[in-house]
Amino acid sequence: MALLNVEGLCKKYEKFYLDNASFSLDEGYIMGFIGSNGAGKTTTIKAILNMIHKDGGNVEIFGKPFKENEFSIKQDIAIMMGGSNYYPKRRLKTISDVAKRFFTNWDNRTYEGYLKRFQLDTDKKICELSQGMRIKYALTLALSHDARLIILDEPTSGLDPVARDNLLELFQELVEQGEKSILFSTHITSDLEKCADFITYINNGKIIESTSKDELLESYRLVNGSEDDLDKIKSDLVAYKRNSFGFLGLIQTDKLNSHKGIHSEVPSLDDIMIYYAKKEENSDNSAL
Amino acid sequence: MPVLFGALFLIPHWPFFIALMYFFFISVPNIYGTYNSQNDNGFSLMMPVKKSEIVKAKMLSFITLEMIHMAAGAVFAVIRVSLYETPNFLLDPNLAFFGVAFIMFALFNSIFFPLYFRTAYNYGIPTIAATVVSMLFAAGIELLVVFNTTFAYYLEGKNSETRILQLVILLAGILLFTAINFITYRRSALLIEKIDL
Repeated sequence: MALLNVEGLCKKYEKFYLDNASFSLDEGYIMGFIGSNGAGKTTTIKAILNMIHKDGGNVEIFGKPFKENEFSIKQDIAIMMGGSNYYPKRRLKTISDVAKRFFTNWDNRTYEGYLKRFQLDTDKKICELSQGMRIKYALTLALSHDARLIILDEPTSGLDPVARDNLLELFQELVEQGEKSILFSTHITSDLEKCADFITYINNGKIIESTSKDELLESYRLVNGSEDDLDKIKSDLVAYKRNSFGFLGLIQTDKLNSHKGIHSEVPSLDDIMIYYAKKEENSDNSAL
Repeated sequence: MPVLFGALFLIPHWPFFIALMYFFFISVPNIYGTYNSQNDNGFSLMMPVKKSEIVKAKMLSFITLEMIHMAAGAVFAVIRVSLYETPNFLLDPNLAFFGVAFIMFALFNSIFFPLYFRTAYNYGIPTIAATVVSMLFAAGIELLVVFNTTFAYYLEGKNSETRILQLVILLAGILLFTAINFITYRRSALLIEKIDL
């Protein structure tokens, strides 16, 4: 069953437009929401959760329309939007005491477990925590009420490599049973390569791809060749970079079939992001 | 704070509406400034509540504070009446006074909250606008009591006929307060859905 289904989500800001974002996430999977800074990841997540007013589109969570069932749906969602940047002079235990009253499924044992795992001292105040620890605290609050859908905005930014790896392992543990799903946004592609099942790639307010990680990597190829090859293949490329040997470019696999003899290899997620960003840059330059 | 302001009811000749209005001058900017500095909106959005319930929560806590001020005022008004023989030059702190005070609070809420929830952040202009209107209303009532003898008779009279009218004014005030706050809540809930928090 699709735990999260987003259709045609739109949001217009003065200089940015989230254009018809659509994707869905089934039970028991991890979806990585990837895009460069300013691509629209946080806007999409906020629009899904009704934190900002959307200009169009439908969101369904657990098979129910979000707008009409906001209150009951939110009991089963875990939300983490960056570190805990509220009530800086309050102790963690005070904030936890307030937060736990809102959730009917709050589990104190799970909460204590996460505190221990992340080595958080509840006598400290929020302002005394580093950015990474604030993110860990926000995660603790989010994960302690048995949520079925866990939505995290950049959970690994600010974490040291060890903590980041531990967190990604934790995500995999959570979805192992097949009942929970995780949607997390990031611009660190190595996180996705480690644990994501599905990837949704957004660039400049448009969803470019939303598919399984393997399919995504299969549907693109990194090609290189000489200047002559470039002339033949230029129009089919997503984007390319010139170098002293010729060029390096990204192409969709089905378009590659008509160009035999060009050397190709499987790209990394980084490559796909970089070349799409280059494509945007080129179209902006040509518009100028 | 309510107790300190309530004690102002013991002043011999004074517009007692000001005792209740100190809440607007001092408490409101402090409370809403603190909401901003603590990023209360950010915290509220993490909780499993509808966006419109943020309005309900803020209004209910605000109204509770207003009622505490009224209650403290009422206690001191009773003490005052038993202490002093001479009536107040302006409106006596009787049942009618509190009925009108309910209307004043309702007026403040009906202007403050819709203006505040246009941004859920800027509270300066909403506070000023709502305070000015409440003050004009209270001043109007006090001036009517001083200059219009019929008004003064009905609002300050001590016989059974006027007492009943004062009780009716109190009850009408409470009803209007409830109705106006409900309408204000509905308006503000629609406004908060339109903004980006």
